[in-house]
Amino acid sequence: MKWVDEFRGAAKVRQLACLIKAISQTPAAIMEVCGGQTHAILRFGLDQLLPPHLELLHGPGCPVCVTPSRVLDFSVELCERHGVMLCTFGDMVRVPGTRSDLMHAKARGGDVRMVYSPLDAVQLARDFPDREIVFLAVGFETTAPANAMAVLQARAENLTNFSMVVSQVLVPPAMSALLEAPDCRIRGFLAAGHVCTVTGFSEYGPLAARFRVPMVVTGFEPVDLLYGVLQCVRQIEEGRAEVENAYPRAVRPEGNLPAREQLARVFQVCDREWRGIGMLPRSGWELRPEFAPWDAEKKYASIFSSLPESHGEAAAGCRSGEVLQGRIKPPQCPAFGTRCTPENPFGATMVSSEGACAAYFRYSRNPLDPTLP
Amino acid sequence: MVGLYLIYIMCLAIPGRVLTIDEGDALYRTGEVDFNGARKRVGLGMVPEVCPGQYVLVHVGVALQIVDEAEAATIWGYLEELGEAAEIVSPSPDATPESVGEKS
Repeated sequence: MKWVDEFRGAAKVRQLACLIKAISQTPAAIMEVCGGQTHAILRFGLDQLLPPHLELLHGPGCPVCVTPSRVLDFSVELCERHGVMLCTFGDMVRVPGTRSDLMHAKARGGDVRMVYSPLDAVQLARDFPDREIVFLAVGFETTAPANAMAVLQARAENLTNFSMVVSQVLVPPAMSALLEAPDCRIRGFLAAGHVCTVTGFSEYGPLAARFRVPMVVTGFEPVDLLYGVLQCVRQIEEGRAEVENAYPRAVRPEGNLPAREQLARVFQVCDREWRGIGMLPRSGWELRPEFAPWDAEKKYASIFSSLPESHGEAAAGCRSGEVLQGRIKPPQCPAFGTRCTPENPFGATMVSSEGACAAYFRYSRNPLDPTLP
Repeated sequence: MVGLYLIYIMCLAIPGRVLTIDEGDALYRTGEVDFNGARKRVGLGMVPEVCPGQYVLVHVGVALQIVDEAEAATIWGYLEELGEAAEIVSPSPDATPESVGEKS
């Protein structure tokens, strides 16, 4: 509770929590999709403000966590054995591949650079015309505009020494896959605010109707998150299953149309493997064929095809796949906090700061431990 | 503290105020954006109608959407509460986003 008390919106947070308690009768599990939301919920203890019959499930919305090991293996191979300067976001360097992560590849002499933006990788391509620059482009819809922009810039300037390993994933197909599971407990979704800032939420309507599950587009502040839960609970109590926008400050129904236009120019829908979940049809974006010269999978096709297919989890005893799907909470994994820690992570959910395991570890939250609040 | 900075990277977009917009093709133009005191060059191609003085939500160096000032203030309040908003200024030891960004 202390993080909530310290927050200057504490009065509003308490009000919202009281409203939720007053309205909610039906036991239900509500899933927040985005890892940033998971992080905020645990950081501020928002789940503890809810009545006991309301449970928050943590979803698969951590792009670092769902990136398959083959993509990591490919990146390690490129920088370690083929002289490529491999650029990526900082969280990616510790995600285990089959053989190694990028940090260890760097320690062995591979040229791995952490960048803030894909555009910084394009700049490196300009600055080092004699080097091959590969950007490892992971992300959900939120990150896609920046990745698209990088490719468009590289093409406009004919930077032939720049290419991208694209591992873009999409939220709605993952939601659909979770809802299709026969033992699915999800009775409501908090849809990820900044994903919808880009794409809007027209795709969510058919999902809500098909699975009879309310979907509330939700922001990232404590007040936003509880407001999202409140609107979800209202729908559950009233027997509605609609898409609702609880984050209109940043999300328009249609999203950002100019951005969507550019995304459609650059990407096309493809099947994508999700670490811990498996192959999901039409759940990702890949570069369109006309961008093949900047597509590292095509540029280095023989190297990519020589690598083994991704399968399962990296480490034995790691249950991060179940964590990603909201089937278990991190402390229910026997390795959590003992053999598996942020310093020595087994699975990507412990590596990434957005991962549910890392968030539980960071905020010392173990619901199985009665001595903790 | 590197960990917390990374949540900005992967899913949070940060609001900033557009100070200047460079000349050039609308798709590739950049502008200087003020993030509560820290200035950075940001890609503005996805928000072609943006004007100086407006707030934009920025994610990994590219503006995603124009937002109003109230939204910017509330998100900054949240980030300050997390206590690590300053980290977007110098995200990693390897990259030099400021210098790289200046040239782009």
